[in-house]
Amino acid sequence: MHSEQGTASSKRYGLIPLMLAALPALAVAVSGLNGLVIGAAALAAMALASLLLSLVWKFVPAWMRGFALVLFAATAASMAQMAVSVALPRVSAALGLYLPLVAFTCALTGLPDAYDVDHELEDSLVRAVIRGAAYLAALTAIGCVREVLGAGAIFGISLGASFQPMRMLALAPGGLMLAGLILALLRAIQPKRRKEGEGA
Amino acid sequence: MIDGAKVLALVFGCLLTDNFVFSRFFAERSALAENKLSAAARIGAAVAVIAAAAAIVSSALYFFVLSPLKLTYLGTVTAVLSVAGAYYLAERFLKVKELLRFDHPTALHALIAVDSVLVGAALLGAQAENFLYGALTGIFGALGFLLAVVLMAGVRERIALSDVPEGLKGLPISLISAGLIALALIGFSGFGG
Repeated sequence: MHSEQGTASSKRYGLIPLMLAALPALAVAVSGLNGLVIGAAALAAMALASLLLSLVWKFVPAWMRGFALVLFAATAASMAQMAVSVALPRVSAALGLYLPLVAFTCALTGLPDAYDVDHELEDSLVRAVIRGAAYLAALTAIGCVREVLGAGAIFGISLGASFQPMRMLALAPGGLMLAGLILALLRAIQPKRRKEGEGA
Repeated sequence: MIDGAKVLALVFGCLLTDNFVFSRFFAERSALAENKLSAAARIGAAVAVIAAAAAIVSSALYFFVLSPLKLTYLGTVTAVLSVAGAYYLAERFLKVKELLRFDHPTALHALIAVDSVLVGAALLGAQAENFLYGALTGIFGALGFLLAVVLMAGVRERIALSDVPEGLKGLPISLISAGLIALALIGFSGFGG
């Protein structure tokens, strides 16, 4: 997911922390809709944080930059949370503190390699949107899998009484195991990236 | 003002049934990716101290400043600022930078990016019934987090001696093991209220 500009921080972080940023989302991504909403919030927060960063970075003194990154990500996460709580109050209540938490960690994890490089507005925005879209797709897919297997429904539509759901998948243990299996699957698909990921 | 049964339920909940790692999915690097028991315990302890301090500060700010002034929409930013404050205090008095082995110029940001337990604890502290329960949630949640970190490090040491399939080595098997521990902890449901 990283760009060609392999900076010190991106090498340091590797792929796994990028994936791990969205891990808390597994606590609430138990349905397709939850996954979609939390993924969309992460995407919006990443794009907004990246936009803020590009606009004011040059005016931030060097000693304040670490603090500024954190503050940008928090502001973006707050705004994403407010937007969701107005548009979808019920889903927002179900997601609870995970909505700002995931939006914040995703936005912040998306920012590190912007620290060392000169970044143009369009470049960083496009990169943030691509990464955010990956989170969105992954969280929606995980939400759908857990909803189908754990509750026998998809986006709230029941698959019929004959389907026997495996409730464990909708609980925390199922989320952790599913995350492990997905990671193993990703490694199988992208064997070349394994070494980079293990450096986390 | 303090309900003993409620506090006991909170302790059990934070340590076992609502554990930060196994149930709330807060922790990342320290719980799942650090290899040795000693290193994991050291990093886990440092992170737990900062998390508890962040939760106490965040809870205090939420209940004594934001709520009376009707500024609760600033909750997320305040929680993050509490983490930053707790980190700087810990850095100053406990020399956590060496403990955590961060040499990145933006150590605070690196720490938050890899361990969402800090912001998670701070947000959770502000969601409690009142300041006291918020602070207790932070303290016992951090203890539960430390328990999980040590437990997972022990499990990983045993896994290192086993023949793990190639594709599952490293983080995937850690996650699956954490899932199995989480499954065992469901047995305590009801203790935590």
